[in-house]
Parts: sequence; C-alpha cells; structure tokens
Amino acid sequence: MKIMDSKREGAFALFLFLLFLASPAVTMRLNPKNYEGGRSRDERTRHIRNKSAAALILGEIRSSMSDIMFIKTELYLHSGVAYKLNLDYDALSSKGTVVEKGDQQDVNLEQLLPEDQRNHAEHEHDHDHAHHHADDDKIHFHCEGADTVIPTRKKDFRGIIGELHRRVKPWQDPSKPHLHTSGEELLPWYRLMTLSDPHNIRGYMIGAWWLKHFKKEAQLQEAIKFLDEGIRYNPDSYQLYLMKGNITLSLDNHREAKALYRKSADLAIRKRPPDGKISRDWTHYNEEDALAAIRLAVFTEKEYGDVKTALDIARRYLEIINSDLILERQIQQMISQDQ
Amino acid sequence: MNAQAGSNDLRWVRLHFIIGKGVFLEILRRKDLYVLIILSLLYVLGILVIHLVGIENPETANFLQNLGMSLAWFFAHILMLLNSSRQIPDDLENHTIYPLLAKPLKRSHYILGKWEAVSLSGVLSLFIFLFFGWLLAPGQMGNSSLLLVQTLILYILSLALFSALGLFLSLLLPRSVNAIVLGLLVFLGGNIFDIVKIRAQNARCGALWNWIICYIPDFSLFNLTTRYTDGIGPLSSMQFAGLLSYGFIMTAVVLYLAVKVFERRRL
Amino acid sequence: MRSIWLISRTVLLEAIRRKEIYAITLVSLLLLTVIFSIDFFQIEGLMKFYREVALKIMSMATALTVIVLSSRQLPREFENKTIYPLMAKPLRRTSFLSGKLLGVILAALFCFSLFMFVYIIGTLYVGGGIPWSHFLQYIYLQLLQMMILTTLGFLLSLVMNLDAAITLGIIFYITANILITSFTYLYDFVGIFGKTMLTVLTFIIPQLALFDFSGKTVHSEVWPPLDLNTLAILTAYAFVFSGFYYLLCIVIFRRRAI
Repeated sequence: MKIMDSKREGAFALFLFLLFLASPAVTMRLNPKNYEGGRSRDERTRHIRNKSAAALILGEIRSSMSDIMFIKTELYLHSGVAYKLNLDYDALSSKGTVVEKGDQQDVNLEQLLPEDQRNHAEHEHDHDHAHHHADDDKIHFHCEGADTVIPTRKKDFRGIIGELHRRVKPWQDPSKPHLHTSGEELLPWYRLMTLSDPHNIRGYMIGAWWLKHFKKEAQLQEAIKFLDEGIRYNPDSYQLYLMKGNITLSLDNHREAKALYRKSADLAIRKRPPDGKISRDWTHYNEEDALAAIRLAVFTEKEYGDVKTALDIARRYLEIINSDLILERQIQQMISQDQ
Repeated sequence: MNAQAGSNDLRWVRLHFIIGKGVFLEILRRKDLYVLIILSLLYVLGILVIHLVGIENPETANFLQNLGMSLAWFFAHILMLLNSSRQIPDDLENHTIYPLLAKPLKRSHYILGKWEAVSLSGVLSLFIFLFFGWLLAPGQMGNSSLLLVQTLILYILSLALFSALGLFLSLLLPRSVNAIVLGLLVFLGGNIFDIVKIRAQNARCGALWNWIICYIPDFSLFNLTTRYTDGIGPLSSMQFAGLLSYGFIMTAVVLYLAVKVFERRRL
Repeated sequence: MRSIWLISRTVLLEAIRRKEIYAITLVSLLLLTVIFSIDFFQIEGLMKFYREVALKIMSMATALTVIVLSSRQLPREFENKTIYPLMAKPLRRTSFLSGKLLGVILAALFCFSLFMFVYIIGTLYVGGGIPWSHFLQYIYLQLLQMMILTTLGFLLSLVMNLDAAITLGIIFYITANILITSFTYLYDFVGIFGKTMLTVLTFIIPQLALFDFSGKTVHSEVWPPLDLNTLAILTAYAFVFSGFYYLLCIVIFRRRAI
C-alpha cells in the first residue's frame, strides 16, 4: 500500500515538474495588459482626472505610470513647483508645445531651436503661438496666473506650518513670473514609462521629441532606435511614423523620410473618421497629426522624389479628406510647375 | 473499504477545520484585526474626504474606482504577507505545532490546512476592502461586468499563490527577509519583469532569458484593475484559461515544495 | 550617560547583526545599482532623475528600517523578559528609552552612510555633480524625521501589537504628503467646526512632509539651500513632537507592571 502511495506521489511530482518546466510556453503568451487605447492612456480623461480635487490631494500617488509621468512632466518643467493647472500633455506629445491651460499662453519649444534646425513638420503644423520666453533655450520665464498646490501666505490658514512648507518645498508666488526649465531631464522617466508600458505611444512621441531637442546626431539616432521600438509594439500608430519621419529628415535622409511620411499618411487615413470630425476618439491633435502626415508625404515626394507621383498622391489624399487649403495650394503649385 | 475511506475523508476535513480554526483564533488573539481595521479606516477617511470635495465627473469616479480596487489588492496582499510569513515560524517557536502533529495529521495536511486558512482570511479581507473601495467611488463609466468577474477570480488566485509562497519562503528565510522578498515580488515584480523582458529582446540570449523569467511568479498578471477601469473588454477565453492554468500550476508547485521542505525538516 | 551609550550600542549592534537591515539595504542598493547602470540614450549628466530616485530609495529604505526597528524594541524586551534584569539595575527608564532612541537613530545613520556611499560613487560614475549643501541639509532633515518616527514607533508598539504598529508607522510615513495637502485643500470645503478641527489637527499631527527636502535637492540648480533660521525652527519642531511622544512612552512604560 505504502509502495503504491509513494509510486503515485512520484508520478504526481513528475507530472507537476514537467508541467512547471513547460509552463513558460503558455506564460509567454499571456498578455492581459496588452491592449490599445484605454482611459488611463487617453489624454482627455487623463487631463480631467488629474485636475480633480481628489487627484490634487493625492499628490504623486497614482497606480498608472502614465499618470505619474503627467505629474512628473509638470513638476520638472516648473523646477519642482506644483501648480494646480495642468499642461496640455496632448500638445506636448504632438508637437512639443507647452500649452498652459490656465491662461492659454503657450510656448512652442521648437522655437527654441535655431532656425536651421527646425524641421518642416513643425513648420507645417505649428503656428500662431504667443510666446514670451528669454533667449536662453534651457530656462525661460513665464507668467502662469494659476494657483500653486501650496497656498500663498494670504490664503493659508496654517501660520508657521504653512510658512515652513513654502520654504522647504519648491514654491514660488504664483502671481510672479516663474521659471520654465527644459524637459530633457524627463527623458529617463519616458524611458521607464515605455519600458513598463510599451503601448504608451505618447511616451515614445515625447521622448523622441526631447531627444531631437539635443540637436546631436548620437541622440537623433537614439531617437530613431527608440521610435523603432515603439513601432515594433504599435505597428499601426501613424504618429510614431510621422515623428520618425521628422527625425530622419533632420538627419538629411530624405528618401527614408519620404517613405515614412507616406506610411504615416496611409495609416492615418485608415484611422481617420470619413469626415475627420473631432470626437473623443479622434481629437484635434489626431486630426492635426494626420493632416501633417499627408502634407509632408506630398511635400517630400515633390521635393525629393517625383513631382508627378506627388501630384497623384496629393489628389488621392485630397479626395479622401475632402478639403485642405495647404494641400490644394501644393497641387496648384505642382500643376503650374508642370505647365 | 468505502466506509473506511469515508471516515478518513471526514477525519481529514475535521483536521483541516481544526487548523483553520487555529489560524482564525490566532488572528483574533494576536489582535491582527488591528491591521485590518487600520487599513479599513484609511478607506473610511478617503470616503469622508471624497464626500467633502465631491466627485466632479465620471472620469474622476473612474480614477477613484481604480485607486480603490488597486488599494484593495495591495492591502489584501499586505495582510497576507504579514499572516503567511508568520504561521509556521510562530507555531515552531511557541511549540503549538506539536499537539497538532501528535494527532494523526500528516505534515502535508498541516501545510495545506494553513494555506487554506491563510488564503481564506486574505480573500475575506479582500472583499471587505473592495466593499469600501466601492463605497469610495461607485463606477460610473459602465465597465465590463464579465471582466470584473474575471478580475475578482484572478485576485483570489493571486492571493492563493501569494499565501503558498509566503508559507514556503517562511521555511527557508527569516520572517523579515521573507516579507521583503514577497513585498518586492508582488509590488515591483511586474514592472521589473516588463523592463527585463524588453531589454532582453535586444540581448543575445533574449528568448532564453524571457523563458527563465517565467519561472518566477508574476503577480501583475493577476491584476486586471487598470484594464477593467480602462473600459476594455473581457479577456478571451484562451487568455483567461491560460492565466488560470498559470496560477494553478504555480500554486501547486510552490505548495508541493513547501510540503517537501517541511517533511524533511527536523522538529 | 554611559548606560545610554551602552544600550544604544546594543541596539545598533543588534540592528547590524540582524538580517533584515541587510535585506532592506541590499534590495535598495540593488535597485540603485540597476538605476545607475541604465544608459539613457547615451546622454550624460541627466542628474535630476538619478537624484530623485536615489533620494527616494534612501529615504524609504531608512524609514522602513527605523519603523521596524523602533516598533520592535520594547515589545521584544517584554516578550523575552530581558527587561527585568535591566530594570533590576540602577537604570532609569528615561535612560533606557534614551538609549533605545539613540541606538535606532544611529542605525538610521548607518543606513544613510551606506546609501550615501553608493549615491556618491554612482553620481561620479554617471558624470554629474553633487549639490553638497542641499544634500547635507536633506540628510539632516531626514534624520529629524527618523527621530519622530522612532519615538512614534516606541509609542505605537506600547499601545498596539507589533504588526499594527509597523503598519500604522508605514502608513503615516507614506501618506505624509497627502496629509499636508489635504488639510489645506479641505479647508475651503468645510464649515466653522471643520475649519477649527483642521487647524487643530495641523498642529497636533507632526507634518513629516516638512522634513522632505528632496524637491529642492533634485532641482538644486534653481533653488538655494535653506537658511539657518528655517533649519533651527524645523529642528525645534522635530524635538517638540519627539519629546512629546517620548514623554508619553515614559508614562505608559511606568504604568506597565514590571
């Protein structure tokens, strides 16, 4: 009886051991966190929830890396000072623009680059921003007009405790102009963010944007590697191709940039609602990026490829998106050139 | 023969009941409920604050729901960590294990009884926290009910594996070191594994690394809270079945190892 | 004085001998080493990230050590009955508690020294500078915070069981920032009674967030170090709370039948 029992136990142990040994074959295919979209990654809902009273009280305590990054971005760009207003994170990821929702003053960080370093992508889809920063491209002054999380002496009931709080923590009187520092120091956070959530497209976009800001070939190559990783995990993201196109163009690799813009435009058209109507799923920035991809696909084809092909694709894209002044002007130019 | 088997089963159940009762009495006697009460009070404070400032919109409600559920998962695991890492060392230290083993009780039954009782106490506390979490912010964005059921089942599986691991490691490591290892595994493990996996892809033996990492329990696979509050649909039946098998295999292996180590230990 | 030193030395030696302090330190050092070894896009001098992570790990690990260590001191003496021979000697309870307090603070200092060593080596390796005045002020304020946490740990362990005392201590430490922000935020939402309650709570609960100088240390190129006056006020603030908890401990300790 005992021998039978031990034999049975031995067989069970062997079975369990084999199951365990083979288990990674199943485990490696388990990916419950692998999905596209979701409220935690959505810019609009992220903005709304992080501006709520509950979120302000919780400070940096968040369960999602995406939200943590949202807070870190604000703190780093404001030298650690916590404000109640939030940056327009969507704009930051889309075109490297810091938009302060508090007073609707925004600063296009691309403008901080010398003229010859700015690329066409930003020229094409970024204009008319009021900016008032100093010449220094690392730090500039900015007037917020929004409250800080730590209140001013006038609004604070805590007396000495409040005074100590203001002295120990990074704090500035919100009525006075304050510092905006560069976001390059945020890069490690974006690296961590995309490592822990490779489907966070914004993380790749903003990280690549800041890398481009270094204006050095080594970092531009790093940005391309970074975006390649993003594309591997998110092959349908037209924004990543658009950003990679921008960086490739900065490296004067025109032929590849042209192909990337084309790919981006094709993907964008597949995702874009037929009328391009702005909705929760198709934001203003989605539309802007899609149009930029289309325009740049035509523009680079015209400049570095074949004008006839450029004209063909311009007409095809225009037919799909119905109307676009810049594209129509390009078509007119190409027709007149042809004649 | 059948009658004997039946009486054996009954005795087995009774012995498990004795061990389970012992664990629960210990929880009450040691005033471990303090911890449960303290953690629940945190929720109550949160509810009071939210009541004062209000929930401005469904997005905030959703955010708070995510936080409430995440904290329930977190707190239940903390309680299990405290509980599972103490059971066997305390019984050995206080010599309370001897009367139990003097009864016709196999050591494997002792471990299984402990595991069942510790897991059950964890599941009970989980539901208490989830109840408070729901009071904190009832969902307003119409998330998938089927995914909620899947999430809860995986929470329970996570606790079962965690208690098994806690009991097993308590046979090998001092209590505090055990607590640190468990805490690191459950709260940071998922992030560390994700980072290692992505970095391994560019490494030479990347696939081998990824395979080896899979032998370490990844508790983040059982936490679908963010997927649920993100408004994503339920897991496919294949994915869900895969997660269940992963949890069952891991738990069985860890329990088996615990029994084997305990059987070889001199008392 | 000698008896205080003897007791504190015993606490320190025991803390160093026990495995958990090494486990906490090892895990933290491992995390720090991993962080310092990551190459972020071949960019040198990205110091804010390293500084922030290093300071956070340092603070968390030391706080965890201090909370566990302080909460365990007194219950274990009662449990193992090692307090009886001690009390039989002409040793005052204040000296006994002071010795324990000093021992735990020295253990915290030991932890900090280990981390500081790694931090300095790491910073030199990454190629950045150390804002010394900020960094030393950060350590000093952290030690004041550890002093409050130690006396609070003693007190909690005298009124509740060990696990509960440790849990409450950790929660108190982790939620320090939430506590201070929520008070200022809630003030506008409550009536007269609520306002009075919040004011009272603000002053009777030690605001641990005031001892967290990491924000300015991370962004040290923008912010100057604290002036001596502020440091003095913070020191007094820490001593008031530690003293109060210490006195409560003495009272409870005296009432305990030994």
